[in-house]
Amino acid sequence: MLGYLGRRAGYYVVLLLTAVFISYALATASMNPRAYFEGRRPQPPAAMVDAQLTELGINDKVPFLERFGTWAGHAVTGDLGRTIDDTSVNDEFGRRIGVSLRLLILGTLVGTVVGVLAGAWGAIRQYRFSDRAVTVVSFVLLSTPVFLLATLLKIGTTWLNDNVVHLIDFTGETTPGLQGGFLVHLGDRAAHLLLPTLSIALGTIAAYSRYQRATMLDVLASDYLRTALAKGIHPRTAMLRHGLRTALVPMTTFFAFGFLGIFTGAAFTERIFGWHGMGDWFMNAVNRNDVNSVVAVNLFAAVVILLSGFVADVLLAVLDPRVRNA
Amino acid sequence: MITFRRFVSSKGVLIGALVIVLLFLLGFLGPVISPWTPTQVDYLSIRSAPSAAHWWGTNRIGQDVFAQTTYGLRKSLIIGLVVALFSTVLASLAGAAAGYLGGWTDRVLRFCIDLLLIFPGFLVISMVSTRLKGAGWLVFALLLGVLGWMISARIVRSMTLSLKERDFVRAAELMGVRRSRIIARHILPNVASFLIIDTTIAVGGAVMSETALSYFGFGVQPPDVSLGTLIADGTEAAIGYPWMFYFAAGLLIVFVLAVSLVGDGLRDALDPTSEAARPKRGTVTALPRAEAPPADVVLSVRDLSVRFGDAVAVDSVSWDLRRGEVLGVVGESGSGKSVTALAAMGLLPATATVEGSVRLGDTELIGAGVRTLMEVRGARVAMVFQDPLSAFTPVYRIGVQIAEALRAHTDLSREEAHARAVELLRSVGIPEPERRAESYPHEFSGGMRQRAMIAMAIANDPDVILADEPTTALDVTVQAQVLDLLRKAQRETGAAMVLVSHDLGVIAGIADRVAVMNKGVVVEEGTVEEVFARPKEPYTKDLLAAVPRLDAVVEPREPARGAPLVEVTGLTKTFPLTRGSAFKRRVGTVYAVSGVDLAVRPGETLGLVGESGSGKTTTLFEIMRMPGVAEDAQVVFQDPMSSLDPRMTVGEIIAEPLRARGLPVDGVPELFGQVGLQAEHASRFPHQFSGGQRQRIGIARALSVRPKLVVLDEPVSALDVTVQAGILDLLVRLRDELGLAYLFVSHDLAVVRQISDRVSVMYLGRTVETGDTATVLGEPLHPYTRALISAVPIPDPAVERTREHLLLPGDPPSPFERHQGCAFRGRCPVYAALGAGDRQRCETVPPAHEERRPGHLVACHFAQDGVSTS
Ligand SMILES: Nc1ncnc2c1ncn2[C@@H]1O[C@H](COP(=O)(O)OP(=O)(O)OP(=O)(O)O)[C@@H](O)[C@H]1O
Ligand code: SF4
Ligand SMILES: [Mg+2]
Repeated sequence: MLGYLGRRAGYYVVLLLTAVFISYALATASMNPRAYFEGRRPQPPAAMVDAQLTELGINDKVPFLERFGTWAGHAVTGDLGRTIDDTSVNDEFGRRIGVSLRLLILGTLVGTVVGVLAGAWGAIRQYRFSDRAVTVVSFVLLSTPVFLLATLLKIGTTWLNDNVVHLIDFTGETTPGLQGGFLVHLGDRAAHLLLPTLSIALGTIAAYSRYQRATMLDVLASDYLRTALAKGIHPRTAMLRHGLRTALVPMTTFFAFGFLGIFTGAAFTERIFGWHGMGDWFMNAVNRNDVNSVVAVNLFAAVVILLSGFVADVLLAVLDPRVRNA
Repeated sequence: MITFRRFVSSKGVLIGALVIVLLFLLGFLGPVISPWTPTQVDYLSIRSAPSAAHWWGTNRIGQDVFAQTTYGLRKSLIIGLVVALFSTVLASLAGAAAGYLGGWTDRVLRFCIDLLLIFPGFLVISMVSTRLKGAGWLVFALLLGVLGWMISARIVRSMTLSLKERDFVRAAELMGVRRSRIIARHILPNVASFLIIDTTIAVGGAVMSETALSYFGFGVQPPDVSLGTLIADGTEAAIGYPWMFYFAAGLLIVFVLAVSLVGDGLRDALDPTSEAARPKRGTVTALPRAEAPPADVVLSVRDLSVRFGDAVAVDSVSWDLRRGEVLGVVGESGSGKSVTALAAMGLLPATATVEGSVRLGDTELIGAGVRTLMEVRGARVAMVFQDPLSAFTPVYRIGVQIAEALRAHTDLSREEAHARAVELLRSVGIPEPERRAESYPHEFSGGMRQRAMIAMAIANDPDVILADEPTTALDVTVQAQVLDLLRKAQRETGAAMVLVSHDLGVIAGIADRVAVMNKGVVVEEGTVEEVFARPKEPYTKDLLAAVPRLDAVVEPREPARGAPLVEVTGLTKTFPLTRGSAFKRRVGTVYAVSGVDLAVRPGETLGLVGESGSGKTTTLFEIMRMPGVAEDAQVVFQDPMSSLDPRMTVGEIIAEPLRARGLPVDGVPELFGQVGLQAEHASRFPHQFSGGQRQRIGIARALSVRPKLVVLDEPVSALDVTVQAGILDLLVRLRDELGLAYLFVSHDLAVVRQISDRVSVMYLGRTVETGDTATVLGEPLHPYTRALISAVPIPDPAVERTREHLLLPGDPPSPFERHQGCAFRGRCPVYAALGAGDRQRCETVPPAHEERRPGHLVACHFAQDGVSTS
């Protein structure tokens, strides 16, 4: 098993390095930090712009590979360079990563767990009304893009807040200037988390429940479930212990693909709910031609997606002895 | 076609398709019929509600929302279509190339796919969006396409990989069809239905991506509008001026929903195993019976009927199982044997409609509640299933699964149950049971799995064992072991047993009474002696007449003369054994064939026999690849379904070898007649034929180019005995008419006896014995041949029960290792009886395949005259 995971990890490192190089190349090729400085009023003299760009390591007059070399040299020591405002990318990274991870982890957990359960439940209740209801709801959710879902949730809550009863605040991570003890703050944070988490989780739940339902239906028709029933254990036990447990194995593949969607959704959601996370940073940075910040977010994306892939590999190996022994 | 009817009969699909049409009309006609253009500003009505002048109202600067939304809808639809088509084309090209060409193409493509997967597309597009400003929507759409093809490509790749393994692609390769033609004629048409579905669903996905990016300002740029930019503009005003937001948002959701409804419906229509194609939920009704079953009957089935939708699987079946007896249920495939057994246990899927009565003592099992069934299953009635690999849950250890059966009916602790499971494994003859209890099912051989299954069945000392084809998936020497074990288990537990089998030989050896089933009906029932010796019903008579018997007397034909059409000596073939998917590494070697000698002369039939994994098929393919052979030889495959491309008409299939050689195809109608088919059926597709007819199509295809040699790989193994008899007759007739030579591969000795002039026996990739059919099967010299022959059950209780059975221990060894000396040593009874000095020869010197008697070659140091089997 360790050999298998070790090989996967090695492959991932190669992928990561390639990804970082390509994103650096794309960012430098498509963004124009010079224009950002030249666009300042009053317009600074050309020599000063040059000096500034060189200082930040993003001067387009320096050959590309040399620029990349300098950046990479710092990056391996853990220094991701300077933002276009000459602050540290690392500091900004540190401030924002927690925000994004909270959203990502919560969205993934809620989405996966609820999605798997809903799918398995639907499969067991095939042909019944409840299964059809779950199916219809998941179809509608799957047809609503995350940005629209988040917007709708926001509009709906605002309307409720204004017209019916004040439910929750949702802009940002906390209510600014809130007074009160630890519990008050904790509650406030939880309330702020609710809508963004829902925005990400609902679509994930819908997608995973469809997959889980399909794999579960396959398993329910399998020979080994029949064997389990033929032993005389309770059908419910058989479905959970033999059915669901085995139906989770193919889900690990969907989990790896699904995380890409969750990541994208989270970036949109941050923006819509005014969270200052990595996605928000990225969009600001693109608009301001901030190359180093953009590359930093790309790096973050590649790492978390690869990590989710690695988690999927580990889960697969844990769940399936056939993979473990290979 | 049926699929089309199923497609349009689904309500969701109809509604979805209708909505899509309406939305396209709206998108393309809306801007035309609207009195306003999207950018036109009406200064007099800013933020005005829908009215006669502005049907959907105006926005914050006075632009007409209807004009804007319909225009934006059109833009989103166009982008969606372009993206979906473009990414599907990319996906199919990349996927098919990677899958079919393999090697470096495959590795590089897979790396690219993985790379794109860790780059969320939106990051890339937003990054380059500053450069794209002014480039227009088409560039944006193509970029979206480039970033969205990976997952489909993966699927196409794996579909291509599995198609490549399908017999019809191999058949085309062996016929010499060019690669480009194989991709165009065989691969792409079979991936097409997936691609159609995929494109449909991709349109929805593409529209979602487009709107999201445009919403955040990275996609369609003002003054151009799409649904995304409109939703973005309307968001702030959504509460005060809902028309600015909800028209665009609503159209987006409705469109994507409609597309996924249609996509889902398409998938269901094209996939015959999909849920929509399955019948609806059935009902279970217990019929009351007039009188209680007699006291000595443990299990009594009365008037049992099972339907799946409209299809009747079992029709009013009745039989009784008496205490301690073995009832054989025999019949051809689909005759309802398994369904009867499963119905008795309440194990049929919910789609079955069951009616009738099954009594276990006083307990009625049809329609019984969960509690009752739980008490019966595994404790009073235990089951043994056909395919022991799929019958164990793959993720649990064998010991745990047996212990679970124990704990379901006793209050043993976990440890006690485990200890008992180990004991049970020991009692069914699993070596090192303590260690083996910790193994997973995939680590067991087929025979060991079936032993473990039997251990599980006898765990709670049941009154009845229901064994459904318990040995069908096993090799004949292993089948003999398992049957022996079943007999022992049944005798020791005193349980009554129902043994379901299609194999009359197995039934003859083990059953006391037999029930013959045909098309869901029990046509005849009686003691095994009676039914075999004096069958009353015509069906039973036909069945018995059709079974080939190993002890049959076959008139030998004139020995063949002339130079061999093919001849190999010492043929070897190894495959690398690889692990890992991303970076394939070689971890060992499969010694598939390591010393085969054979020769086929003109007009002669050579039977090649051996158990699974002995290298028969590899030998065939190696022979076909030898220079010069393919011109004179053609192949007929085992599985008549998978060797015919389901998307070609049978006319095209039969003509394919002719086309591959650029020959005229006007002889095809005649070929139909020759194999007993009607030429009018040339325009039908393979699925419209029965298994036997499909095999006839395969034979016609092989004969189309007038070969001298036909290589037949298990040509009748997938067929029922009566159908099998017809095909064998056809083969004999064609051989005589056309003077064909056959290389006939089979694991079934009785079939080989019937058709072959000479026989060659293989064990673990080596030829161990060759000679005239009568000599090899009548007076075998090699210990393996002798065991093989004695393991084949003879469908005659009088003979089968008095024969001496020679059981081989263990399983065939693994072809992953190189074997020193004689590969059969581990199971060889002769070796086991040798003294130390003689043993050493077997251990160190591989026996040569040499002539022991005229024309009779044997590879054994201690070959001796065997006992005749008949
Ligand atoms: N789950 C199912 N849904 C629909 N039809 C079914 C199902 N199970 C079995 N059938 C049908 O019922 C009929 C009887 O099947 P059954 O499996 O009992 O045959 P069998 O005699 O055991 O054949 P075999 O020798 O191939 O095992 C067949 O026509 C089969 O296609
Ligand atoms: S050579 Fe030895 S081990 Fe091999 S078959 Fe003959 S007696 Fe048995
Ligand atoms: Mg069956």
